[in-house]
Amino acid sequence: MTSIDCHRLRPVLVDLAVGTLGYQQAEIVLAHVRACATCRGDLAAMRGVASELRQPAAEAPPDEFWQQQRTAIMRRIGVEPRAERRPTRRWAIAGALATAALALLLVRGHFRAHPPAPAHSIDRLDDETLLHLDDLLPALVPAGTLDDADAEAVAANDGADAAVAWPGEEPDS
Amino acid sequence: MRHVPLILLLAATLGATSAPPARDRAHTYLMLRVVDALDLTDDKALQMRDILRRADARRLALTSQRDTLDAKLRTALNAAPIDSTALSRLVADTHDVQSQLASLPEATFDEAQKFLTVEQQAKLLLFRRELQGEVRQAIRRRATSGPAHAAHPKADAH
Repeated sequence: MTSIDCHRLRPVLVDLAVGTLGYQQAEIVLAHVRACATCRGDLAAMRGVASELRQPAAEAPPDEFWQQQRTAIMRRIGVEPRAERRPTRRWAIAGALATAALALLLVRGHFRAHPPAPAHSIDRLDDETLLHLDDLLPALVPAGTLDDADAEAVAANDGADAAVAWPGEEPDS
Repeated sequence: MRHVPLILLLAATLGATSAPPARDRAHTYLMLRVVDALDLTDDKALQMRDILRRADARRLALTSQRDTLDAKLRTALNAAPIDSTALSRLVADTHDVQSQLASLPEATFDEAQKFLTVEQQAKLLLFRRELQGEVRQAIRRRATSGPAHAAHPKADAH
């Protein structure tokens, strides 16, 4: 068997593999295949591929896959695909915005109700420390100023409370 | 907050003798506030720490003396007949202690004045009143918001 036979029979080897070759031609090709190890190997491989192809097709990709493929190809060839306006996407964005707005309102309300204490805020002290601090201050603060300072703190606190207005309300003047 | 490591170190040593943790925390907080309010350098923070430590020790000693003298005054007043001589001496002693207690903040300020700039002195004068107001307001707020402080005499002081 020469390589010329292999070259001549190779085109019909595929037909033999998939079973579309006529009986007489098949006999000739099979005679060569029996004698030629190379073509026998090729035929076996082709039959494997044919067998694979006969298997039930894999699950078809979703439409979105083909849409993305199409978009990618269009971009590759320099054609900007038309933006598809899908109603579901718009609703999704609207829903996300509504959720974000609601979350913002809740967070804002929370911080209005519980303003974060500054790093040095007196509110960060535990009860016992606060009382010790109160005991300690007479070494620093003259007694005559205590009542004044207390009254001013109350006034300042009341003023701060009045300045906080909820949406739709006017702050106290 | 740039002096926090130093202040924490200072505060840790400020009441390191046998002071309860809450008192240490109060010292730490006071030092933090003073350093921040006056924008003290590290060496001035050290000096201020010493002044406050001495002032607090003095305050504790005077308060203890005052309480003892108060008790003696009550006892002397309840005695019959009243020993005028002894009572007169007690009055003088008690008045002296109360005067020293009253002048303690000014003594503290006088000491601080020696190393503070005029700007820092002005800030200290404003700060000590502001802090006092904050503390009293915080105590009142907590006293009215729950029973946690009801047992402490300061909770109902004002």
